[in-house]
Amino acid sequence: MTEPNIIKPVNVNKELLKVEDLYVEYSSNLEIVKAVNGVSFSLKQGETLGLVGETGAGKTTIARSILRILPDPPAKVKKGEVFFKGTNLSTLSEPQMRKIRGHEISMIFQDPMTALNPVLTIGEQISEAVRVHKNMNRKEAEIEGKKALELVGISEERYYEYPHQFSGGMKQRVVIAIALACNPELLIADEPTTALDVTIQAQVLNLIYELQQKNKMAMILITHDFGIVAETCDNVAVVYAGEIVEYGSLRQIFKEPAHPYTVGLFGAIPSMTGDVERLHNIDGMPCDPTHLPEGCKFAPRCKYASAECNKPISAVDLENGHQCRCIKAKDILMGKNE
Amino acid sequence: MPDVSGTMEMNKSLLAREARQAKIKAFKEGWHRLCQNKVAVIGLIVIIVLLFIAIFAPVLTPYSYDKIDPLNAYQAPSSAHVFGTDGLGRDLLSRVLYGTRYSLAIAFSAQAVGIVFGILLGALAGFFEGLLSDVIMRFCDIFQAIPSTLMAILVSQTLGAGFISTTIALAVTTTPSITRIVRALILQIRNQEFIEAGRAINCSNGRLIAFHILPNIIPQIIISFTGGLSGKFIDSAGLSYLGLGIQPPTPEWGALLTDGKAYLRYYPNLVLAPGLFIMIAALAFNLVGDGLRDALDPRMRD
Amino acid sequence: MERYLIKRVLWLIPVVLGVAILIFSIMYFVPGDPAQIILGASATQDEILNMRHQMGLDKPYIVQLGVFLSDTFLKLDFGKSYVNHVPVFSALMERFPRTALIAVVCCIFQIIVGIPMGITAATHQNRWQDRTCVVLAMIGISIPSFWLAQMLILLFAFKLNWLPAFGITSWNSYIMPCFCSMLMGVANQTRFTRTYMLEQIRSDYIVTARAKGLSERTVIYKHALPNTLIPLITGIGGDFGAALGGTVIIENVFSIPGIGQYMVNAIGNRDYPVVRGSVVFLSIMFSLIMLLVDLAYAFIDPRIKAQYVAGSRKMVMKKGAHSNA
Repeated sequence: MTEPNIIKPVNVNKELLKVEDLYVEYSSNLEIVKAVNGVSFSLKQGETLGLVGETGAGKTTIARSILRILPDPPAKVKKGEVFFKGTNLSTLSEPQMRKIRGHEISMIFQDPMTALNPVLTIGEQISEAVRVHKNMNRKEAEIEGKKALELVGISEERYYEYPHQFSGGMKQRVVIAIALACNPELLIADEPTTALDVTIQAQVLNLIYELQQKNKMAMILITHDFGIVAETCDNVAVVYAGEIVEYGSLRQIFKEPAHPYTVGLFGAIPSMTGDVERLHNIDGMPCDPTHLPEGCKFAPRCKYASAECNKPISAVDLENGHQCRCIKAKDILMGKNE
Repeated sequence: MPDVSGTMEMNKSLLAREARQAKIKAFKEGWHRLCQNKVAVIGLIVIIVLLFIAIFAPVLTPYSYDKIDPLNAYQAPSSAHVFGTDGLGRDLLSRVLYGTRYSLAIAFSAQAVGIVFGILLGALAGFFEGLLSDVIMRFCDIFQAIPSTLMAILVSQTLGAGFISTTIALAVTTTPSITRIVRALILQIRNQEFIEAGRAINCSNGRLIAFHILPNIIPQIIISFTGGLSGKFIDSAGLSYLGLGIQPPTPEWGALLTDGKAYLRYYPNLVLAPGLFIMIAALAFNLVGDGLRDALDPRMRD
Repeated sequence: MERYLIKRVLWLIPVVLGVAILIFSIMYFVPGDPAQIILGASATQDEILNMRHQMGLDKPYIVQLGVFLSDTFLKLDFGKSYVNHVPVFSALMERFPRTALIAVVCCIFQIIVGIPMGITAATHQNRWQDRTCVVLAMIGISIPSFWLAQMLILLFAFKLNWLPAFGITSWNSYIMPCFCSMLMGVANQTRFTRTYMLEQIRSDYIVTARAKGLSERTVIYKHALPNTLIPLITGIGGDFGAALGGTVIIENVFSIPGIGQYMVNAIGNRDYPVVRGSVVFLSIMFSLIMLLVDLAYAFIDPRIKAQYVAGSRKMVMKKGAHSNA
């Protein structure tokens, strides 16, 4: 079915992506929005990282900065670097970066209804990715394109149809097909199921997971849904106000959340077992990205906050790679265990 | 049993107040954005200058605009007559400056009348779906099937030359597109939830229209008003040129062009000066109109 | 697809009829007695009454309207000029090619100059290319075309003697009229292309295209441009109508014997059949062009082929939103 895949030795210790101290701002005439404020994380081959957080936390900005597809007039990467397989992406020229986009790193977007070009057939939109990266002619690319369609469960006769002829879930499958057409090593999925019906969500998510396992891809899954995280991710990074406030393995984050924000998020999830009077929501409003506080960005809403929290915070190391950006983390964890 | 209606009233007025405050903030932001747009500001200054000239014309003009002096006819520009004189010895500069009144007045009234009727018709078509709406839209189709210049000529010919007839002729060309825009906006707004919420609390139609619907169409109206204004200067001049519109001896810019058109070869200043003013006015309004559009339309934000 | 075509063509008929009725009705109220105009000031009352009877002017409005419509559409008889009794229709036919030439050249230049300028401006937003194009476009829409015509005549005909000032003596008689006619259209096209292109560039599907690693050229020309053309084409149709209207005055300035000059002279002479016939004729031409525009949509936008019912309504709304009120 497929041409012989070059088998990539899955070396679990090999680092695929490293984001180092990323700062991104959106500036307009009136104000500056600090979208990303010092984000660092890394990803190994085949690993799945969940980026969790509220809308506006900066997750999409982080994702787009990796691929360098931020809208350039308003957005600017102020500081920080992204390394992919050892190469510093921030120093690559545009033509070099283009070779990587869609080929070694691919992205799936949130809203399938607007992610496809309405005037081109979906076949064309899939095969152009192949043609650009694999130097094939039209006929060969068409074959590859049809294969990609089959992979996502769409019959190849629909190759010549237009996006408006597909439902939302099917459109998202097409988007996935486009992203995976060139067998990328890293897939960034930006809330891939948020805009879909609940019944379709599971299907699409399964599809992504299957294909990821099959192709041994690493994945960054951006979502605000912990349920999805629980099913798919190896590690989790909780994002708030453009910072990673907590990072750890799936188990660490779910069983021992240390940051008050993470704890709050879990508290807001309805429980299938047990009777709860009211859901605990987190007090206060998400902070204004144009006027961020100096110290801990969550302090204004935090019930554990004290005066020390208003000074710049660095990450606290908890055990086994579990990190938290809260000076009260250890106390919180101990308090829970009592 | 908690007092639901009381809470709803309070929530409704809270929501309405928040909505109003958000609107005011949006206007302030829009104004700020406009001021940052350098060319729009230049346009605004020019418009203020023109308004100033129009209001204080009698004081500013060196000679009276209708002072006839046949001995000094067709003078070239000189220190005595900055723009020269016309066929009857009248000072061109004075006539052009005084003509600002007429030209601005015609453009503004034509646009205003056109927009008012457009809002009325558009609101009717938007609110009351069914036969009335269809009939209004068909009328718009038919009106717009006639190129606007021709329509203006047609109406102008029927009504004759003069201020009011020209106003009507030009207004007629504006109304159909405003009707469409207003209707589209109202259809959009009608279906939004806050209107349903208002109805659910028994808000009268009148209140709905005044407090909720109209404020939402104001930005677009402002944009349409200023955007179309520049065309009115040019169109009214065109009508005058054809012998319709406003005719000499009224010193409206278009009429001045008509006055001078036969003498283009020998006394180009007669045509140059009024035309330049038309162009400057049109440009100023275009710049401001564009600036307003950029400032008030959130999609164009950078 | 065929159903869409047929539906659009059928739609044309009531509109054209409506246009004819509207124009007839407006001109019904024009002051002055046609009979008197034809017979001249020295005619007697009896002669005038007779003439009115002959011309059917003593019949009620509805009957006159009916006669007008059946004459115009069934017999293609647009009446005769009051002044020289030449059938209006044949005069229109003779003059139409000249007017059409100017309007067509205007449209062509809109496409080959306006659209590329707009694309350049949009793809270099806020840099010098953008600012230059926008400034030029702004000036272009602010200049009264007939004034520009006079300025050009002054320079190129009177002072430099390069081009003929009046009439159509050779092919270069058309240069200045075409230029004056196209200026506003090209300027508008630049602005609208820029606006629509900027909108498209900010769309999600463009992000998808960039994320695929496509070259910027492909992204703009293969992805953004076709989507930009959709609203743009309406504009080209609309500008053709504006060009038709504008040539009326320009022909007057350059004394070009097209429909415009025919009509304007008739206004001065109160030769109402000519005015009426010209406007009806030009409006029909305009409607036909808009029909072509709507048909062009179906070729570019695959959604239209599928949704012709919703599509024609969307287009009616788009027309309203597009024009400069």
